[in-house]
Amino acid sequence: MFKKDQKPDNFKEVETIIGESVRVKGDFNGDGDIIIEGLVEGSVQTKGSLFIGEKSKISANISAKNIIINGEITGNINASEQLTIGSSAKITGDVECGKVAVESGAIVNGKISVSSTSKEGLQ
Amino acid sequence: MNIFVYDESLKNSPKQIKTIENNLNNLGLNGKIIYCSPGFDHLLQTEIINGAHTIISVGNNLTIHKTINAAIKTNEIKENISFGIIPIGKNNSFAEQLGIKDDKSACQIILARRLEKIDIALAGKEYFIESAKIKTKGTFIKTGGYQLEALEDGYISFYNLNCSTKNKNADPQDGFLEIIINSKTKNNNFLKINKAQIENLFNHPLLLDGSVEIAAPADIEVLKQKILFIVGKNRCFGSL
Repeated sequence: MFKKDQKPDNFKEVETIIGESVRVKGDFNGDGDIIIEGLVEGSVQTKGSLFIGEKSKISANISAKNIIINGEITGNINASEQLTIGSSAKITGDVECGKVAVESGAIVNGKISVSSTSKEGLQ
Repeated sequence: MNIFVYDESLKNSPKQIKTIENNLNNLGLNGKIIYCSPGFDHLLQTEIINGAHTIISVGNNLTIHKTINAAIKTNEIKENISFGIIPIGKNNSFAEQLGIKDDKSACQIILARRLEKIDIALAGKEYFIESAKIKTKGTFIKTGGYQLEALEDGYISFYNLNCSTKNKNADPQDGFLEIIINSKTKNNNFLKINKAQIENLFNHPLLLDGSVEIAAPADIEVLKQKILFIVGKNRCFGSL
């Protein structure tokens, strides 16, 4: 799993990196770890972990095993295990997760449901 | 039977040809020579139909690109046909990544006949082995239910094989191309695809293997472990 405020720097372990200068539209599905620093419209699902960078803007429902959010998201979020919401995160949407950690300063407009029986992403 | 496909420029370098042929003869390697000049593809295809089993490109990335394209378009191509490289001159990144350093060591490598199956990609009607590249401006990549576009000027590269430090993930045996987008801010973007449609609003071409341009739009597809290459032990992939 990613560290709380830091994206992994080892390319080998990350399946996909969507950088700051990239826009993705549509349904993005993956199996491994994903880093998003750019713009995404649609949906994002992975069986692995998802790191959302500070400058990213996402209009999508997202689903992954572990999620770290530092950017702006409009959409529903499902983290089957751990969700970490950083201080720069702005979330507009409902959240379901197994465990949650929220840093001071984060903005969440929506319902947060924490349950060990949270839906398991793509599994 | 071995077929040696010589780059056309070697016609003007009899001394270099003599050196290569001496090296090959000393190792007991011989075969038929075809020059990679216009129309050579028909000659090569005929040799394949007649039973050639090893095809060796003597030249650079462009020679290899043309050889592979000519050979693979033959319906008669058999799975046991293998390809080798004797690198000559500059622009030989493909040979380097297969662990083939120079012409002398290439002859030894051909003799040792260490084989690896590698992926090949098809862009439009042209095959490429190493990479395809296009300007980001006006380019859209459509794949797997989503569309991707770069928002800054730069280049989008699709790598089948790339052993540079930054792109260690470009494995030529995994059935995927790795997309790297390089823009002014030097952000690294990395995605894997096995099939995509490439469009460009400004008619920028797609450059294949750093050698041959084709027009966009073009469909790209990876054919997993389609061809057999003779490789050196210093290659950067496979069972080392």
